[in-house]
Amino acid sequence: MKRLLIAVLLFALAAAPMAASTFVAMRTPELIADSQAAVQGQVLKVHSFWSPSGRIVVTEALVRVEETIFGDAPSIVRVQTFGGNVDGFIVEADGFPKFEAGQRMVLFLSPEKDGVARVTGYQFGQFHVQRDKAGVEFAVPALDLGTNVVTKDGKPFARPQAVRLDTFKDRVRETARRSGRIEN
Amino acid sequence: MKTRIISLSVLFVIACLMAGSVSAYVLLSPRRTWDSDPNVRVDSRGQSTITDGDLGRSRTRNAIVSSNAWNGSGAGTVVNATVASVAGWRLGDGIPMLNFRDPEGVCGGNCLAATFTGFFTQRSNGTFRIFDADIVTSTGRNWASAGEACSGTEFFIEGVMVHEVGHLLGLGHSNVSGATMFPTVSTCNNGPASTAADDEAAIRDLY
Repeated sequence: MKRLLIAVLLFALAAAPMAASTFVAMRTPELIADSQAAVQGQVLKVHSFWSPSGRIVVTEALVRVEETIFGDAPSIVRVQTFGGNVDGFIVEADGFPKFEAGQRMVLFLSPEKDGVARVTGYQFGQFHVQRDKAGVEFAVPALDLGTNVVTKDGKPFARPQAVRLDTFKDRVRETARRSGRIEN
Repeated sequence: MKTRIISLSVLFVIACLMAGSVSAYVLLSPRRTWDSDPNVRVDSRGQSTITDGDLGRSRTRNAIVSSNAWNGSGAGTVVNATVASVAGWRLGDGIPMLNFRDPEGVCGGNCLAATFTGFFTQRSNGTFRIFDADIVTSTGRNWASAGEACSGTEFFIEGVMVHEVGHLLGLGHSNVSGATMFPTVSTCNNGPASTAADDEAAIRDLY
């Protein structure tokens, strides 16, 4: 019973949302079209700092690439996002990609200047790699509950679901192949 | 037996709380409020894709302070807004601003508007005080205001900004379809500019 209580409490806490921003929904073909590459990798290091203008907090992650799903990417990718914690000064930016050292993830990457990439489509282009009890790996969408989503076609937005990692990567490759991003 | 009853009672209370959060408003965590009504500076440059003759600035400002939105929730005035310069836009400066541009390149691609919160401190009584929150807007999208026809690929500035100001005031998302704080909206839908009973209950809870 105590375990169940703890589990329910943890779930209730995890379900608490944060602030939000508004994004247009993106699906896999759009992510591929707007990306230089998609990679599977592991976050090695994360640090946050004020932008050179001093107006906003930026977080940079170093990601070791385990596999390039399509496109071209270096063996270690520098990815930047907004929000973070600098000396206790916290900027919450929900809907923006978040990184923690040790996490494994699939990222759709847009090229940026000075060798720094961004995640295409913000959290739409970020998927956590998680393993179930049987050891099967899944690609779990990073899209959090704090993200306000608008649709271009007026249809209701269906939040993406976790998919087996292999299946997910096969789908991405197949879509990339059909759109000419991978040569046969 | 006694322990079991207590445990079941606790579970029941938690289940009720969670059921409430599934079907109604949610506040940001930790719960936080402004000490006095924030005065949001609405960018006097306006949004260049809006063709209502005023670049949307007055309609955005009016929507934020409208009695059909947060100030009509039954908690009195909870937010003010002024059309003014946002030249000194900076996170954490204590001046809430709605910037119609994106001075740091934060909100491109599929981002329409970004609200940055997190600037809060703990009061001596243990509650949390918001001391800043800022909004930036994508310039790569076509916006419309209620003062013009919506093309079908445009987004209404009033609805999106009343939603974002809800976050600025301390609200999270609601799962009530039709509420301003519901997390999904489509093009040419300005419904979120008018708050629903669920949004108003959230504001009365906070303020």
